Amino acid sequence: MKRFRAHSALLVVAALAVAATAATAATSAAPPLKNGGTLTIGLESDPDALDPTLARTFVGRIVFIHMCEKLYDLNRKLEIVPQLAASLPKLSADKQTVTIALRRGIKFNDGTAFDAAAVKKSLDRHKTLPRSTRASEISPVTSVDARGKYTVVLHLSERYSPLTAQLADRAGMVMSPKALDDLGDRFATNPVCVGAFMYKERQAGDHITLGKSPYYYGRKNVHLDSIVFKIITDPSARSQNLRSHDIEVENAIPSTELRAITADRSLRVLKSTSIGYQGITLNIGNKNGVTKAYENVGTAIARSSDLRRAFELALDRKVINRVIFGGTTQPDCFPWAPGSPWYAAVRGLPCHLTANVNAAKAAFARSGAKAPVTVKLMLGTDPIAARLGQVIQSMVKPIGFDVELQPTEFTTSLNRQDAGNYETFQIGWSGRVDPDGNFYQFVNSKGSQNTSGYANGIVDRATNNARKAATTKARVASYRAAVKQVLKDLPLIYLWHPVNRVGASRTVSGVQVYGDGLIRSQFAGFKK
Amino acid sequence: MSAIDPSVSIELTGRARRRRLVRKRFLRRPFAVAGLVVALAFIVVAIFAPVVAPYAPDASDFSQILAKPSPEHLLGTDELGRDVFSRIVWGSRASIQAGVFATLLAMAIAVPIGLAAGYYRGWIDPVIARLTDVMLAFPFLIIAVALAAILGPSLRNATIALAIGAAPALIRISRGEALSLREEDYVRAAIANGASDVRILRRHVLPNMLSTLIVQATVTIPAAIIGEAVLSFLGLGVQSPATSWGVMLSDAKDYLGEAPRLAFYPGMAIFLCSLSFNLLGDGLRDVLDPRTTR
Amino acid sequence: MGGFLLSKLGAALVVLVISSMLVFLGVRALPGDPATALGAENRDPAVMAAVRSKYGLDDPLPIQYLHWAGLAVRGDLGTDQRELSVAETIVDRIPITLELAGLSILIGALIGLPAGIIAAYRRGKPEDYAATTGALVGLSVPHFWLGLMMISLFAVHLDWLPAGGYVPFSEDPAANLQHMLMPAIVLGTGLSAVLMRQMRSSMLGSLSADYVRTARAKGLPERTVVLKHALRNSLITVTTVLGLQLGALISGAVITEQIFVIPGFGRLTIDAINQRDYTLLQGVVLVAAAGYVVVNLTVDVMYSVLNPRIRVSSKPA
Repeated sequence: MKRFRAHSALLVVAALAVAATAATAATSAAPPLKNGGTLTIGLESDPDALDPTLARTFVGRIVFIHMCEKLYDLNRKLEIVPQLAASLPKLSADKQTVTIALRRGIKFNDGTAFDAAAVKKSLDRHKTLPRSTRASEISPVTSVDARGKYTVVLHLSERYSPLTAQLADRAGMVMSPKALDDLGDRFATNPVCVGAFMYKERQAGDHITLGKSPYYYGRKNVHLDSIVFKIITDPSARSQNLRSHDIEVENAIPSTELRAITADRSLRVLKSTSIGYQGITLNIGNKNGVTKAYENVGTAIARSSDLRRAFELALDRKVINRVIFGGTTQPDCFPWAPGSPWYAAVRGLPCHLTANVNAAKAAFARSGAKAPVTVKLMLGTDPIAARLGQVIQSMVKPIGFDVELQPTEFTTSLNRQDAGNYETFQIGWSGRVDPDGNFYQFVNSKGSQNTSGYANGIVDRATNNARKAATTKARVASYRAAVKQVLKDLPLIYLWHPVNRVGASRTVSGVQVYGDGLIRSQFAGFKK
Repeated sequence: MSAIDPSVSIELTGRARRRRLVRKRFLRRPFAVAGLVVALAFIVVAIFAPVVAPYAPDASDFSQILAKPSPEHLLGTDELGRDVFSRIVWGSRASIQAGVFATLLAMAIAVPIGLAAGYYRGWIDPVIARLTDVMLAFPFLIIAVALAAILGPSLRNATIALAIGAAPALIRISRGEALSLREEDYVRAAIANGASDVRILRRHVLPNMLSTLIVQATVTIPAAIIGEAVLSFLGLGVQSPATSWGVMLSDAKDYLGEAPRLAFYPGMAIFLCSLSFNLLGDGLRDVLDPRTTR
Repeated sequence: MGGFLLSKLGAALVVLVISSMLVFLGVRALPGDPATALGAENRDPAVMAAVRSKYGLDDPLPIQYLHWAGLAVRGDLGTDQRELSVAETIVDRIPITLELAGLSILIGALIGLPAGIIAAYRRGKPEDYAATTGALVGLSVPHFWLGLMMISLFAVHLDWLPAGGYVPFSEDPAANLQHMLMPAIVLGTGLSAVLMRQMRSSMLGSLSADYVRTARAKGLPERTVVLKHALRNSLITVTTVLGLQLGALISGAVITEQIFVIPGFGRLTIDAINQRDYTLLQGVVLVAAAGYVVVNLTVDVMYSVLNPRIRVSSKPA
């Protein structure tokens, strides 16, 4: 959860990243690999429950990739391809009935057979288990039928195009019915799925060990005996471990260590730009709590869009990137990352990456406010947040803003944000594949995460239209109109897109990072 | 009243003589004197930080990031181009403040409680003893971390957390002192003379445990200074842009490879400051405590 | 003896019960709703409501407490946010911190005890001054800073030792010790200062005691007098002090484990606080408090067995 904070910007990776740079390991002419060995992967935080129905964390998905296959997966080009399904889903004419054919002869990692009944059981559990984080992802699915042994049919209440994408993530993971019967909602204590590796043991906060599965259908391509996910929260310690080859793979290389790791010829770096963003949310109308009736909170910065503009113009995104992150992020002004197909909606809109002090001063003067205007900025309690706060403070000071930093523990800050008990908040979003997911909830007056309390007729209309739009072109046009207005009113200031960097030892081959930022090493191995 | 209370006058002249003796004995201890001088120096620097520091603690120069020491920046600059020397000077404020105020607060909490327990005994004593046991059952740092998390991160709250953490030990000590002083002849005499409890505690018990308390204070201060650094290091103390030595260490942690000096200086400052108080306290203990003679 | 034991045991129980209440209330006093921490990035209201009901967060506090305490007495500390058993996690972590504590005590004793003996024996001589000043230096060094400096020197610049992490002893004893060396030195040096001071003062007492004078008068060699007679008696007091240092050791372990990335008890605590993992945090702090109470009780009892006078004179302190 913590990773959506700016400070961990480098740790932040999106649901799907889009950078063309998305690297993969040794692609052509893969070197011959040894069988056996243990691959150790350093993760920056401890995954939550290893239960596909409950799981929430990004790092958890890295573990799942190796032990819980899904109906669908992404390929290197981020296209959706069948994994446990035999083919892409077939849609009925009204697009409300989805038929999925399953692969045959596959076994769960407890030796039981994989079939349509198992898929139904897992999907039903996603929908009905209390605390399921999947339920909202597949909410339009009203019922699931097993038709014969190897076909499932999903009935939808409405057209729902993101369905296949959801089934290519945790909602598409199929759990062993036997394990579910045995463990119930304690499935996480010994999760059993279909996967190249199977769960062996876990020590909370320290490591998770997976062993090679004897039941996996593709086991002849699996080289490693086991994979250990080691939790090393301290970024320098994690990098130190990589450089000393105590671990072979490091997720989320911190900017302070990047130079040393790049220079080390026994290591290589794979990178992917997040489709999420980091920025500042400004409280305009969230007086009574998020989704409650919005009315202006009455602070100087909430009352005057000129003041917000002055604040934004004074921020130097390039300096933030250089000073705080050693130039390792992607500074930007928009909710979608360059490289995303949806970046078309914002291309060409005004975006200043460096500060424009004169324009900022002019906007400040236009607002009629008397300097100094006090602005409270809520942010994290770690050194990177502190640095960021100080940099922002010094950037806007000459314009006439007196920024009061409010370092707040993460969970508390979320509570305060939801309650509307804040002025401005440095926070980000991990990003969603669909453009709607990065935008609608935050700026539409009906949005569930519109913690700015922002309500604008043009934006509401445009974002609603985008949801219904029949063509991509129409959708792009709607988003463009909405973003234009948002940039004028500034309920949010977008600052940068995080870039995740994965370090890997050259003694191993086959470790891959696609644009989704997930480490895939099921078929990796040590070089001969 | 005091004229017919013989213990008082005898005690007073005795005290004056003792004070002279103490001063003489103290000055014969070079380490203790050095401790006093350095501790005073830190306090002076903390008070006059704006005069001593060449730059403001939060003045950053983004073109001078991680600069090496130079005449311009005596100890170099940090990752935001801030002058490290100035930050150390300003940081002394938070550290000394936390050290001194946490200790005073702890004393203010602990001494009355300890006195009551030791002097009155009865049912109060075991109750307070159990409560102190409860507080001691939690590792000090866990109490401080939890309190800082509950109260919210700030210097004031860190100081409160440290004071509460330090209180149980002080309660035990003042209880013990009160317990033994109560048995002294002059206290018994005062009780027999019908002096009120408040008067006895103020005139006979408290003054006689003062030396113990002073010694305890001087050893609690360095512990609190280190405690503040730990809390700030964990993000639970002083918050940016204000600075403290702990904050500086926490910032420096990410740059151990590139610029270990950023971690070296504030650590040295903590070390020297707490060493000076410890030397002072140790010297005072030798001098004030009649049981140790060297 | 029986009455003494009973009263000590009763007091310990009272302390434990009050502690458990404090733990429970303290955890709930933390700002930030655990349901928010579990509500995932989009804080789905349905998920948050289900979380609240699963952990009984909507029940009145006394009911929550009784429910928790009732299960805790039976050894069930509930499941944490990862759906793992809190009791099992704690049982996994305790040996790690105990190993760290054990090695630290070893290092602390190896430095502190001889220094204390020498200082007492050579009282007022340069050796004494060196040892006492050294102890003050040891007390004044912020240990986490010492840790950072050691990492910077021995791990980052010289690359002699790993910067952090943990390897179970059963897996690779050599690697285990390599990883534990720096943290144990960091914790051990602080402890050695305390032990040195204690050893010195208690040796001073023993050396002037009657039985030592008698032994000397009998013409026993000085070595025997010091090491056998005086030392044996001093060790009893020092052992007691060591027991009481457990709390300080755990405090030290919190920050040391943080710096050296050791998955022990201390790091578990900080993680639990940061993640607002109520069940985990309650369990961890309760076990720490219980450990302290048990060690204290043991020390009290042992001390009274070794030194019968205490039974008569000891009053609740």
